[in-house]
Amino acid sequence: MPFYADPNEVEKLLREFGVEEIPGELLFRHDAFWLTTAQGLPKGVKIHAVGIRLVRVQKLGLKPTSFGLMFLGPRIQRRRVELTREELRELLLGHPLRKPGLPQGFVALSLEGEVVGCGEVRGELLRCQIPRARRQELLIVLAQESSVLQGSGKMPKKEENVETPEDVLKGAILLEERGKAFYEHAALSAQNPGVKEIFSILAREEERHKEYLAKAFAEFVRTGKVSLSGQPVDVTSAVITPEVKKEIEAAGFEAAAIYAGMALEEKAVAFYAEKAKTAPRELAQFYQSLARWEQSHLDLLASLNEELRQRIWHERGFWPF
Amino acid sequence: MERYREIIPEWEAFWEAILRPLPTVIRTNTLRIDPSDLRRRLERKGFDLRPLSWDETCFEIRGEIPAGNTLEHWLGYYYIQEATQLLPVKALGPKPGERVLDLCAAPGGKTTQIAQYMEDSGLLVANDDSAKRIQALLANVYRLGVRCVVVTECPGQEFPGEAEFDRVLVDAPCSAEGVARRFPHLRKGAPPGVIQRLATLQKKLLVRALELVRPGGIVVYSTCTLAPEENEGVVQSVLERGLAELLPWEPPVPHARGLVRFGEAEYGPEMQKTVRIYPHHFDSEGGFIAVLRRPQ
Repeated sequence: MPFYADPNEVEKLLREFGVEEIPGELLFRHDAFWLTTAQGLPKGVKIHAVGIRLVRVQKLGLKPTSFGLMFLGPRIQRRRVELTREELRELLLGHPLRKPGLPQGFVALSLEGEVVGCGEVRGELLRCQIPRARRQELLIVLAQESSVLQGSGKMPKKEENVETPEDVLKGAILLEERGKAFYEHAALSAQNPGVKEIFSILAREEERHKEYLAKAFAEFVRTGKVSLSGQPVDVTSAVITPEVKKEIEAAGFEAAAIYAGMALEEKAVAFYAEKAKTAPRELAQFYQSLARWEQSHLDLLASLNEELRQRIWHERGFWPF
Repeated sequence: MERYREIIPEWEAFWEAILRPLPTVIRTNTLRIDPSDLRRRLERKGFDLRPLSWDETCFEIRGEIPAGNTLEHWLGYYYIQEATQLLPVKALGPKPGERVLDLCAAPGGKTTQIAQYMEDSGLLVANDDSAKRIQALLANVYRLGVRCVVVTECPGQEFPGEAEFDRVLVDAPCSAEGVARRFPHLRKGAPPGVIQRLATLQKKLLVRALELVRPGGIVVYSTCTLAPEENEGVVQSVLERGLAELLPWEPPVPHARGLVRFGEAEYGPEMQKTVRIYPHHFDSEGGFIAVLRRPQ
């Protein structure tokens, strides 16, 4: 066992982060120090974890875990690097950031005052040390939140309050913008080329919807009417090939992004369908056509999601039979 | 499910509820954040939150993006937990400093809820028999930052020890008919052979739980199925052997009482101390809860 596999060394490491008092007991097992408050251990049974894995004992020394730093977050006063959402996204995608002046070694990555995990500084480069699965989840979070926080960073406008046709069109344009922002993020982050292409197509589709709606809005302002002419044609129906389905990793970023995209599309379909109920006839037809359009995107994502859901259900043994 | 027509009150309302989308409920991780702070943060992101009338740490949530895709969720500030699934731990009533076993713990919703009741102190053993599902359990334990938990892998019916715990939760693997709102393929009900096989396992789990709890200690047996063979039938098997006594439990939500009989099976009036939850009672999933005490 290396000399640094010692609780005193762990305490020393954490003091470098400004953590003066460790909130619990340190327990060494499985090449790691665990932070626990558990009173005793069960006997005669295989143990996977005792509290939170705080620090790994590696060949070159101690390494704080991302979950450990996250738990200690409010206590961490030093070696803490505050990031913008864009910087964090780059790190999560595996791109190092040039950040001169940071302390060398492990640091706590922080977003909006919350510690999100471990980073490492070598020279002027900062790299992400958050585990891959957690990185993928966080990429989804950033993409999804960008769709609601886009622009002003304020609370999104609530469509329920929209009343006039003009306001409905504004709300619809906002919806398309959010959709576009989300799919662009998803396309950038997806690793699988087939899925990347699907998200790119959906982003372009949302952009075309937005342009179409913007034209309709201009026409409405000018004439007081909305024309049904020049509606875009849906191009998404042929993009899911059996190869793409096979390649999508059920536990990966793509799977979560598909699910998240479905929620966006469901919202859009519901929005247009709801507005169609109370709008004058011509406008109602316009909204209905938009609802059908978004429904085709939803169907596309839902078929992929169903494929994955069945796979996950069986592969992970959640099915009790 | 047709075989339940006679036992489920308001059959049409039951089916109407099964076919409706399920509301999303979140439980604040009070080990990490105050419910009012969480609410404020999520409202800033455009979510509408309505506290549950019977648990102010939990909210029904609606928003433009899935509740599982927020920074707050990723940070472990809340857990998405269906409303009925909140009840077994309420029935268990764990306290700070106690020794508690969650015998079939994955994916960890109830484990992390128990830890909150225990204020992250004492000993909480979260066990499961599937290495794959334990990965999900670990992810949730780490994400929510629970320190008093020990995660173990063992078939529940073989978990070693005797009279080790103050309380044991047996949230048993079941035919899952109660979650048919989320999984349409469950709406036709489970095959009799499957129910029979699961009931055999459930009886072994419950017997073992009653051996693992100290005399006078509490065992809660819960499932998310409607099948009486997996619910009242399992509880009856341990009562008949004198391994436990049933305690009455009054949940804070509308509910039905356990069945006295079903088909040719007679469970007796004692079984009315158990609780059945149907989806139309409070717009939730279905489930069954029994609170048992090991005799002194």
